Amino acid sequence: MSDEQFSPEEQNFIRQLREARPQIDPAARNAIREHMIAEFRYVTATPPAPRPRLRLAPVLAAAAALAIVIFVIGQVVRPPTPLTEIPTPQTQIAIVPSDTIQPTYTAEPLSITPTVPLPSQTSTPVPATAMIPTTPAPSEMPIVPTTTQQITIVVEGPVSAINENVLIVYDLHVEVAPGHPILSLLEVGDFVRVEGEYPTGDAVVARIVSNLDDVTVVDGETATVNLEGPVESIDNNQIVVNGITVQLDADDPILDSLQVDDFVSVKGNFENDGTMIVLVVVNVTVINDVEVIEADCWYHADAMGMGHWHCDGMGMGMGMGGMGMGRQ
Amino acid sequence: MQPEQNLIERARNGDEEAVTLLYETHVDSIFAYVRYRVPSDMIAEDITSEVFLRMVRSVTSYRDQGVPFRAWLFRIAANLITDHYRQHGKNPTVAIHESYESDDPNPFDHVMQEDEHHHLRLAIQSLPAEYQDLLVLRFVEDMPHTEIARIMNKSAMALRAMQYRALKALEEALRGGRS
Repeated sequence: MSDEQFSPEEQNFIRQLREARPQIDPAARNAIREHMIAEFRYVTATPPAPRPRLRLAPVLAAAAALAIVIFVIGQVVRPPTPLTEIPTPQTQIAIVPSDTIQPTYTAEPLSITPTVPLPSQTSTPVPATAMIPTTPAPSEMPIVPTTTQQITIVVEGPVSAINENVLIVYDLHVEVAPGHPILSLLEVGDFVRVEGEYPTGDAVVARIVSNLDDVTVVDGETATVNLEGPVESIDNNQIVVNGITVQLDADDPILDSLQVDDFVSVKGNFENDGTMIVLVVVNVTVINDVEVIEADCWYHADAMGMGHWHCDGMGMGMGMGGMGMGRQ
Repeated sequence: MQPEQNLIERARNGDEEAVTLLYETHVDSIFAYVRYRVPSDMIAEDITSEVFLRMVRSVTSYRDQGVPFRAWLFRIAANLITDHYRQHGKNPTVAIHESYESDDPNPFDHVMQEDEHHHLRLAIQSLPAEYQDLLVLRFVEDMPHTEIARIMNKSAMALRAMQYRALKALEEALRGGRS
């Protein structure tokens, strides 16, 4: 904090904050410690429950078997009637850690309820002279449809590793479209929220990746991405920040005063405009009341040849152009 | 291996003494942060207790995946505070003289000081949650922006900008509280 400058009034507020630092009551301190130790003894004495892992194949097989059984029973009890369309069940599994950070995750129970309508209760009138077969001919056996499952997964947590376009979040592999601009923003340790599909059980294929943990809503629009950095270029209502093309509303008043090298904070959503993926702005602000100290900012180039500006509170003692230093 | 990492490793292996040392290292900071954010000592103690209960439940599987231990604890505390306000809403009623004792030799000075601290806490608690976090972590706990960034999931640059606005907002809140 020694490199920061504060006005006398600000220094007074800071002094008051420090003087008013709350102190825990000694009795409470001891009681909390004892409670914690008791819990620790219980936790270490009790073997941890095996981490629930999604096993989709057995559940799908059981669901399909149940569907077949129900259908066959229906065929035996009632005359066959034309099958109606079976809706595709939509199932959402949320793997969301509790509000507090825990390195483990809890999968909610998988709930798949295939719907197979039973044959109609009304019997088909039969002419008196028609021959009524006792069993349907094999060629007339209706084909049991297979249900297709779409399972949406929501994952929230810290990125523990990034391997090209694959993020590791709580031991889950999350695939992002190769070359997606979000990959240039994310670093190990960032918190992300991912929505995607789990088609084969090997990796989550991300539809949405958000690096915002607070919901940002402006005029009814929700932002999922946070981007900060200097404006590198301006082309009508598109600007480039940290190598990412950002699209503002054509009549956004900020365009009147925005200049290259202005530091901006952008919240928005990635969208494909037909030719490329751009960050469509929900909210953008220019950060003018901060003195950028060159020694605290450097250009971080990653292995893919892309890069972005990174500013740190710790003075690196180097000018701009430090390559590949990363973040400590 | 750094000392705290050594303690974490020992705690992971069931060492009770290591858990106690981790507790003693961090309890004052956690309590101070929580107390600035909630309206009473009792609530702050409850939340602080819950922070360390969650610590011992998760320490065996804790890995420094880019979130240092202290930042991890503060993040737990921040989330518990958010949960508290979701459940109970904002409750500005505060017992002012919680620590007042009848045999205090300087009761008037003590009350005046507590009153000032009370106003300051009310002013802090009237600010947006992220301003509160930043002011307490930066100026009471002396955390660098990089560590606060881990807790608040913002860049250090954004925090610098926010700090300026937070101090201004605190100034406004204190003026408003005393008018």
